[in-house]
Amino acid sequence: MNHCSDDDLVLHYYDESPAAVAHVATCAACAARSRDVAAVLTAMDIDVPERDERYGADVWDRIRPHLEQRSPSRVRVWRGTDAGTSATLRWALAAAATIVLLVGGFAAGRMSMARSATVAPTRAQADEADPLVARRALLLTVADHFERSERVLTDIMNTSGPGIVAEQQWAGDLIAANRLYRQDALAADESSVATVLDELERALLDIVHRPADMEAADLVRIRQRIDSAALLFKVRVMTNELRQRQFGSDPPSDRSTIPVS
Amino acid sequence: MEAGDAGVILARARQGDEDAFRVLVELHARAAFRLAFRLMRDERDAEDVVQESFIRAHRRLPAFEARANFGTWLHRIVVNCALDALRSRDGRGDTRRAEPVELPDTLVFDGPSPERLARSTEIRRRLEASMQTLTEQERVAFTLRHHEGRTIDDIGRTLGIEHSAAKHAVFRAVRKIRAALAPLRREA
Repeated sequence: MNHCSDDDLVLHYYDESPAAVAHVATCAACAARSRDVAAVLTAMDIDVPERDERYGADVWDRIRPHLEQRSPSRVRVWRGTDAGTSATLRWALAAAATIVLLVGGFAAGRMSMARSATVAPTRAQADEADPLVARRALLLTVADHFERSERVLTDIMNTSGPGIVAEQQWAGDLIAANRLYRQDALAADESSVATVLDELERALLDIVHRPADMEAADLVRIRQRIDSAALLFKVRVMTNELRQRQFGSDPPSDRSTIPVS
Repeated sequence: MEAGDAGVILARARQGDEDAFRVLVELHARAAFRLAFRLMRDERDAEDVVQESFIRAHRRLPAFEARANFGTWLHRIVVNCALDALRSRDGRGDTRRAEPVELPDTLVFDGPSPERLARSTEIRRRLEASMQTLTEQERVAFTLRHHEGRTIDDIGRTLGIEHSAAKHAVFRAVRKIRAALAPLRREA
């Protein structure tokens, strides 16, 4: 390769030209010019003002008045005037989305052929779905969420070192979904499910808000919180209950065996 | 977020669930702001771009392909909103952009400390001024390549231009930036 052009050196800086990289490695003149380009480009870095964790909520507050309402039929479905009807429909619609995800092998493996045929409706069908079917489909989703959360909590209880960066990331990923499931559980009068989700959310937030370079004492406090709330136990029991209700007679949530703290 | 959770939230947002869209806003707002600030280099303009981006995203959400990545889709919306804002700002001759942003002191010139400090200030002023000489496309292409680490291919797709055009937009931007610093380097 001949000496690099200025444009080649730009590509070299951004590691987008293997030929330039190879040449600069063996050519003192181009290496010097490359350093010159790098000095200018490095100086272009800027500090972005920090935005804290509340920022997303602040943005939401600002844009909410400007959001268009969706089509009247959808608004009617989601925002029914009767609270009970609304809650049921919310579960049904959420279930419809869930059902789409469940059509694959996961759902097929867990449900009988006959039941699979029942719970794999089209979107339009799902809007009018049997509330029991819709409820079971969502229970499956929440049960999956509890299982994922249980794995995070178990990892934290068993890890050897104070650093739990991966678990913190994982917990952070679960918080948003947890919040949605809790809201739906409340709307559907699934008080036991909502209570466990609420406790779980507080524990997940506690995990996420600890510094990445936490000390051993921080980890101990997180574990104590999980232990004192018997959270792992509650999550496991609730997962089992939800699995049973998927296939059973769907007892009301106030018969839950979960000890509420 | 695991794929299952993200899929459920997105599906619900597409069906008009306000809570679900709120979660998407909360998840992506900070990244949107970082991108908007780098493109606009002005905090107030960046805030406007973030808000407009989410409003557009909400409006277009029913047409969003469920299998696509929401973050990638939003990234493009932010870029397009920023492009519109830059054009609008140029059109009304807004001088707010001339305010220098905070730049790290990384460009090293030899010399005694007081002189170096003055030179550093001058470098920052010139670098910021050089950004204002870029066209909207050069500015966005450079920002995506330099600050966002996007490949030339990505930039081409985001801006809807050919690979070669994206590459040359970056080249032109760097040439203009270097030219703005040339007098200082000759003095040094």
